[in-house]
This record gives sequence, C-alpha cells and structure tokens, in this order.
Amino acid sequence: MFKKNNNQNPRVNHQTLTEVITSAKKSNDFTEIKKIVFGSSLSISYFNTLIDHNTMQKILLPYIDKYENNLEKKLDKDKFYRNLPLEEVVKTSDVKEIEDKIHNGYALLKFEDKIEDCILLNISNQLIGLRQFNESENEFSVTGPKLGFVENLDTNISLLRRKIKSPLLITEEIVIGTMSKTRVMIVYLDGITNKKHIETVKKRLKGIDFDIVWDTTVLEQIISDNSNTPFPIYLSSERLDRITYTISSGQVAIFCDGSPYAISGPSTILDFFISSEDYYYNWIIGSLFRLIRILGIFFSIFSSSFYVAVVTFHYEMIPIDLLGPLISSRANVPFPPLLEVIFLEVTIELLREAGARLPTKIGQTLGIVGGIVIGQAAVAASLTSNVLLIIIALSALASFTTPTITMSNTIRLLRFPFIILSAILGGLGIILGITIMLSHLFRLKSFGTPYMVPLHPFRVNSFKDSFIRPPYSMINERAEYLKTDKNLRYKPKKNKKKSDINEE
Amino acid sequence: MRSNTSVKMFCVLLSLLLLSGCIPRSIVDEVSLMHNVGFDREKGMIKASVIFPNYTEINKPTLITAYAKNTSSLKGKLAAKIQSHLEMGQVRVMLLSEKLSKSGISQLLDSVCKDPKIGVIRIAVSRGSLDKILETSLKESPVYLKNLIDNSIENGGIPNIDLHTMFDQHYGSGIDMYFPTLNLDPKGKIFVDGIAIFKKDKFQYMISDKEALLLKFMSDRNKNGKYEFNLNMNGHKTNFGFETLYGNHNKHIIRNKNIEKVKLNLVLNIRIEELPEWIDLQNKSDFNSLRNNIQYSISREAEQLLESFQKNKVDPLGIGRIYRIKQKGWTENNFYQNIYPKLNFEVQTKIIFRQVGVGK
Repeated sequence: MFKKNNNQNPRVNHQTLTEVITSAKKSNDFTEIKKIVFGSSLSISYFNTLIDHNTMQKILLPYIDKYENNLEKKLDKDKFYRNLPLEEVVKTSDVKEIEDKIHNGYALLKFEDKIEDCILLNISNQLIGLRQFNESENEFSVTGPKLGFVENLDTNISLLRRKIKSPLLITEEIVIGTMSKTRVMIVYLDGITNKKHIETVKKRLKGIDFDIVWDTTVLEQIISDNSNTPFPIYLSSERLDRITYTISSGQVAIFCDGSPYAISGPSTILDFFISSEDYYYNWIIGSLFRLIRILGIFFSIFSSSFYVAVVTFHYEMIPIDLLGPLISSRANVPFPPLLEVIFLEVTIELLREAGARLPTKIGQTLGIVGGIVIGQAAVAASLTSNVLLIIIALSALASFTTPTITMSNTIRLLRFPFIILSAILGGLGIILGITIMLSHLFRLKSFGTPYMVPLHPFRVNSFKDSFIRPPYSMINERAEYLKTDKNLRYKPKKNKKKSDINEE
Repeated sequence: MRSNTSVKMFCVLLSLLLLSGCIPRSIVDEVSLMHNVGFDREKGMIKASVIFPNYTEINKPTLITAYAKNTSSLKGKLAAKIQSHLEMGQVRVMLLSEKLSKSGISQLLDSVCKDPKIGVIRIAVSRGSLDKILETSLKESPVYLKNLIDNSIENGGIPNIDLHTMFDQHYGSGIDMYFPTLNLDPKGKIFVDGIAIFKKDKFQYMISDKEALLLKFMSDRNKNGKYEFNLNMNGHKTNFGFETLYGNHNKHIIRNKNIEKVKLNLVLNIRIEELPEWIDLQNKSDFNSLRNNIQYSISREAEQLLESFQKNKVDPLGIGRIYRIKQKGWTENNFYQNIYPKLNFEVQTKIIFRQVGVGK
C-alpha cells in the first residue's frame, strides 16, 4: 500500500548555508540580528515563533552584549562558545543539520557568514501553545489517579519515568513524517517485553512514509495488521495508569509528539473492555462491573436487531403478557420495524455526534432536549413505538459503558449491519451476522498475535484476568499470549491470618 | 484475488437481498393473532370458533366462526372473514367440544402437530356449550382461559397437560391421553370440572375433579392440590380437608405366579389448615389414627379409580409402558385386550405432616 515513494513532497535540497538562509527569509517570522563581537560581525538568526524569548533576552543577548562592549580584547571564538551559558550548544558545518535545527527552534550564530564557525543554540520553547495538564477527560474514572498524557512528548515520557522508576524502561526515538518530522517514541521493558514484538514495531514504524503525523491514531492505522476492519487493533489510551499497566505486562507502547494518546500492542479484544478502575476496586466489585460492561456490549449490539427480528418474523415467541404492550405501542406506527429502528438509531447517533461537536455546556442541554423532548415527541407523533424507544435508549446507554472510545465507536457501527440482516432474514440473519463477525475476528492479528486470544485460540491459563478481575495474588503472572521473557510480575506472600488476641 | 473475493461477497449480498423477498413477513401488529380456538362438530361439518383479542384501542375482541368439511379448508374459510393474515403462532388454548371429541380428533391434532409456529398450548374439552364458554371468555382478558387452566394445573387438582405431553400420549404407545374439561356453572362462570380421558383419539371416560387429583398424585411430579374425605375417628364424623404440598410416586409390576399386580407407592407431604377440636395432634394416638385414616382413604380411592380405568379400558397412567419393560414382544393390542383387564392394583400411601401449626 505504501510502496510508492511520496513524490508530492520532494525533500528540500539546499546545498549552501546562504541558500538555507534565503529560503528561511521568505517567512516573516524568521529574524536575523547583527552584532559586533571581537571586531567582526556576528549574526544571530532564528524563527522568533519557535524560540523562548525569555532565554533570548535574559541570557543570550546579555552574554553577547558583554563581549560587544570590550572591543580591545583579542578574538577568541572558542572561549566565546565554551562560555555560552546554555545547555545545548552544537558546533556544526552540516547544512542539512543546520536547516533541521533552525526549524526546531534553534538559533544560528555565525561570524561573518563563515560556515566553519557556525554554532546552533537550543533556545526553543516546546511548551508554546500546549496545555500543561490533562485530567483524562475522555477516559474518565471515579476513583484512582486522573492523570493523563498531554501533547508534549517529553512531558509524557517524564510522567512515565516517574511512574516506572526502573532501568529496564527503554525509550527509543524515531522521527517520522517528511514535513512534520514528528518524534515518535517506542517504549518497552528491556528483558521482559518479547524482542520479536519490539522488532515488529520498529520495522513497521521505520517503514512509514507520511507527510504530517497528527496523532498516534494515524500511526496506528498505518502500521495496522489489517486496515479493513472496524475493530481497533491496538489499545490507545490517554491514561497514564493504563499505559504503565500495559507496558508492565509486556506490551510495547508508542508515543508521538503532539498527541495525548499512546498506543500499545499487541492487544486482544478483551483489553478494550477492561477499565483501569477495575483494579482500584475490590476484586469482587471490580469483577461485577466488568461483567456488567461485557453484558452491556452484547445488549448494545443485539437488542435493536433482536427487536426487529422478533417483531417482523418471530411473533410466536413473544410472551403473552408482552404481546399487548408491544402491539398497542406499535399499532399507530406507519413504518415497518426496520425503518422505525433505523430512524431512532440515526436520531441517537445524531444526538451523540452533535453532543460531541458542541461545547460542553450546550452539549448537556442538547442531551436533555434530545433525550426527553425528541423521544416523547416521536412517540406522540407515532413515528416510533414506546417499547422501541426504551430499547434504543438502553442500548445507547450500554454502548457508553465501554471504557475505550475506539471500541465504543465500533459497537455503534456494528449495530447497523445486524439490524439490516435481521430485517432481511430474522433470527437467521442475526446468526449469520454473528458468524461473519466471528470469522472476521478470528482472522485479526495484532502485531502477529491473535486478536481473540484467549477465546480463540482457546487458552485456559490466560482466562485469569479476562471476564472477571481476580485478586492481585492471582494475577502475578504476565499473560501467556504476550510471550514475555519473564513471566512473573511479583511474588505474592501467603497472607497469614493472625489474630491480635493471641499475640498479647 | 482481491477482486475475486469482492465479487463473491457482492453475489452473497445480492442474493440476500433478492432471497429476502421469499420470506413471508408477519409483523406483529399487522397479523391477526388469536389466543383461543374452539372446534366443534355441527351437521357433519367442523366448526371453528376463534377469538381475536383486543390489543389496539380501535378493535374490539371478536368471535368469528367458520364451517368446513375438513380442517385444512377451515383456515381459508376463517381468512375470508378477517382483515389481515391469519397466524396460529400465539394460540394458547384449544377447546374441543364434547361432540367432536367423541367422534375422534386425530385429524385435528395432526394439523396442530405439523405447524412449527404453535408452541405450548393447553388443550381442553368443553362439557357445556363451546360457544357459550367462548362468549363468556370474550368479556374477560384474552388469556383468561389459559390462566384458568394454568392455575388449576399448578394449584388445583389437574395433572400437567399441554401440547407436548399430548404428543407423547397420543403418538406413543402404552398410554392414553387426557385433557381437562371446562364447564359453566349456573351463574355463567367458567370452571375446570374434571378430566376427559381418551381412548386412541376418542373421548371415552370422564372423571371428576376429585378423581383428577388422585390421578395427579399418581402421575404428575407436581402434587399440589386440596384433598377432602369423610373422616370417621374417635366416634366423631366430619368432612376433613387438607392441602398436599409435594411428594413422589413410583409404580411397578409385581408378578406372583398367576397374579400380576401393579404396585403404586405414594409419599405425600401435607399441610393441615384446620383441625376439628376433638383431634389433638400432640397426642400420639390421635396423630397416628389421623394419619392412618388419611392414608387409608387415599389408597382406597386411588385403587377404586384405577379399577374404574380398567373397567372403562382406558390407561391414562401409562401402565402399558411399565409393563412393556418387563415383557418381550409387547404389543399394545395384546396388552389392552388380554393383560390389562386381569391386573390387580395396590396403592400404598405414606403421609408426612409437614405443616400443622400456624403460618405458612
């Protein structure tokens, strides 16, 4: 798919320093300052939108001014450079490097336009225009830390290193994007994460030819094992605790500058129904919530198609007490069940989409307006039936319980083929849809690992932390399918029950 | 390769869309559903009376009748009288008139048996006028008849009978089928008054609801019911009643030289709700004497019932089936003509007082 070279954006090939400067001068935010130091002219050039003006005015310029004032001293460029009170000083004569660094917020210092005497000073400000905090708004949890990643890669890695204070944590940087030159970080645990997985990730990332990397989700789609699937193949999360958990369990995480989302893989389908909150509650409560969530997914996908199938074809299986309410609520509806369901489903999707695009405060109002007013009015105008309104509302509610947004979107989408199949073939259509969906899922792979493990291939040992969340003493081993080099996470000690009375 | 698979996919989807035209739709509010169906025989024709329930505000429940020479053309005659497609899938009660039952119902049962949409339905025989029973039920909810029969099966003295047990009894050998009977009391209320026992497909013998309870004790797993008998104890006479809760039964054949005996062991747990003041259950002799009286009464009445079955040549208990286990080359004709009339019956009852005091 990406075999062809990207010819639309030919790499700029400037041979000399003058060409670089002339090219940069076409932009208005490129600034050049001339000073006289040691009797020779010193020019400082930089993009004033990229640099930190504080450093510039309080450190660099006063330092140069000091030299500018005493003219009688002998020219000693080396000393001048050595004494520069800045962290990153690069001396180079490579035109390519100079060009890259200028675009990254470095300032270029040169004496009398001589290329041998060029130095690059890092006075960039990486935090301009970025938010400093992220309270993991999109993956909210009630208990536990709310810390999320931000758009700055270094902040993210710093957060990660403060959580995993281990020499095993390795971060490897790759630059991707012909125009954006985005820093992408591969993070894994050395000696624990399977080397094959690390190699696969590196190989796929290095093979990318792309212009601007907006988000990690872009990378996710490009490196995906199968791009023709509605299912998310890799887990993407903005939560620090979630990503540290996946790294510690032996997955590879990918960070990307400018994106608050990290992706990690290889993932299985069950990973998407796990919330980090499960681990903050007692295991009994955590397991209950997880089971409810998984039930909610089935309800969300199948409830409306089940309604269509029963009402259109299988009237004989309706319990006699339900028959009355069902018939009387449908009696005035002029549409066949399929259109009725599609109408309401589309309404709900519109509400959801509109709610997501609108500012938060209006969004809430819209929810109330949409939910109560439109719903009631639709029933009163006999466009839909009461029973269906409840079913659709509940299934929409159930789809919100999925902790990962990508999977939640997949569930939104999956409902429609099932509704159409059930309207064509009834219950048989639903079964047909399930068969197609399962055979698709069985073929999916995430970094070469089966997506449906431990359900298919069936692995009894990996069922430990899947549908229920067992106590911590039982999940001290890493999942088998990740094929980690070290399986043991920690050794739980047997809790000896001592009664305080006997000790006295 | 890729284009090939997409062509295949396209063909599958296209065929789905085209084939869907062949599947008959029955949208729940656009078909005529019915819960109660009655069959009668009048002037050599079969008469079907069907109640269409009232679920929408516009339509009132209506009773429609149609006549035809055979059951399969009945549907067509009925369909001519209703506004939407006739669907049998929600039938819950099938009523058969006494007249029709006596002339044989196998043809009717065959058509019920072959319709896969018909689920669990209760079949009953109407002792009074079938039309009157249906008309009376028209005033009540559409599931009135079903609930009436369900209730007497669960809590009253009627053994569990539905379409599935009927199939087993009718198409299996060594057992005869039986259905509850419905009747109207003088005030025009419908009630379950007993059981109609069939020989092959013809109504043969009718037992009262009290006898039906004994049949329930001997054949059904659910032994819930109210039993009453004339108690003669300590020089006092009274009619005594109690509620049976649960228990078990087993029956087997005992062969003694020339005499063959059907032995039936019955264990019943009972609750006594009211006691005459002259019985003191704390007193051991009173306790034993009451228990023996109940046991004797049930055993004797059950034996009498079994003998009356024998006399009328019906076998609702399935004794033929038990006998088949012990006999090689068992045939239904031979058993009912030669062996069944000669069998002796013995019923042994064990009563356990489960609840005698206050409260439930």
